[in-house]
Amino acid sequence: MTTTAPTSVIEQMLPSVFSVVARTDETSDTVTLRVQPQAEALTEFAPGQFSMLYAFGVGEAPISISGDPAFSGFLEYTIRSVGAVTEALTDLGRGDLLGVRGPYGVGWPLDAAHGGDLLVVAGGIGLAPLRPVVLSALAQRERFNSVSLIYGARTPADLLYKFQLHEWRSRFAIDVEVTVDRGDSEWMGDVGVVTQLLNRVQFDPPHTTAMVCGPEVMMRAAARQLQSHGIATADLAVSLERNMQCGIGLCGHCQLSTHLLCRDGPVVSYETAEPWMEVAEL
Amino acid sequence: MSKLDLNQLHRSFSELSRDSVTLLANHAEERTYGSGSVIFEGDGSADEFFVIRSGIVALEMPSPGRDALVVETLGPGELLGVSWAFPPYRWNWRATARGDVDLVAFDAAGVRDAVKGDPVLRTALLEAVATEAVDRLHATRMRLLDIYRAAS
Repeated sequence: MTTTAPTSVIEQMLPSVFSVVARTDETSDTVTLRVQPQAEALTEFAPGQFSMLYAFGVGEAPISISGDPAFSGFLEYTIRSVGAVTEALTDLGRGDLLGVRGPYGVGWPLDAAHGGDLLVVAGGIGLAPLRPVVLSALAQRERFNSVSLIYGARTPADLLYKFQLHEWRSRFAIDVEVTVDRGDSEWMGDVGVVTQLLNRVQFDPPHTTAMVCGPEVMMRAAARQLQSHGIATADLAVSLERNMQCGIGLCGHCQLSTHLLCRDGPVVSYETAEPWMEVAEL
Repeated sequence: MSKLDLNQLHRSFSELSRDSVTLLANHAEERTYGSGSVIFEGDGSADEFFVIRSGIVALEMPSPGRDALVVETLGPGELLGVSWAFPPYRWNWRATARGDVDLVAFDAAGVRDAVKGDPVLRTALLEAVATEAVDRLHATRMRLLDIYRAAS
């Protein structure tokens, strides 16, 4: 039997052509690309959503949107070169073209944090999907009590958005604590794992929403620490990554237990994710 | 030092009785170290221990011909020094103030002697040492995994 996909689905699978308008080298293997559509109007996105980026002739990869949701003229993506597609994407420069589908997925529960404390915990490249959260929180700072970012990276050279971290810290609107696994001779900041910074920031556990993104091992360790500090599991959110291909819940490649992460994630409550994250090879 | 200060100084001290706090306070003094000051040297005699009140302290290993290797930093509310609790009572790492540091210093020999008659205080101190040691063991194991290198 032959079936024909609805036009809307076909349209959803077609990338729009975007051009790179700016490129920032964040680290030796990670860049932030600012891109604009060639023709179509931009769709609004929620912090935590992702797009499928198409390196023409190479393939597609899911990449979280890392820019400011308030800026309507362009999108930003922070991409680490870890394979053929991301290597091609990180090779792009100003004026180069790429395909973009999305935004897709469920974002961070920013509204749930209104009126309480917001705690952002990031590890490595995991700061990229959380950067829109920080930017949104700064833009509507009066809607939160305390806002804190704790961020861990491998070395000082691996820190993303170094200039912006300084800027956020200097504004005194949010607490910013940064640590690295290994310092160098220039590094005068903290050395240690990101969870050790939890004691450095102020938050009221029963009224705190925590958003955690990084390698799954780090997220699990951070979630346990946050739970031990008294933050309810339901108030913890994590961003999970699987093999997303269609981006619209059709192909099933990104299935994690009962969820298709491209559609029902990537951001999920830790209450939902916790049992899955304990299962090997799930 | 006041009772209130010591009870709030470290999470393991919060339940200490007035008598235990008084006993501990007899061996405590507040100190300030300027940026770059060495608080103790590796392989020195561990005749004190500290709780950090403000500032950051680096635990480091001097390395001939190059900058000291920083293994870890500690901050407010954390115990600085665990070697005082067990023989041979010698430091393993050098502790250096990163910026100005306020801390409470305890005379280790005096405290070790005093807790012989106060099992509650002895338990609290051992709990403080054990808790910090276990936390740092977990943290070290996490860093050994080098998770950010493998992450994508």
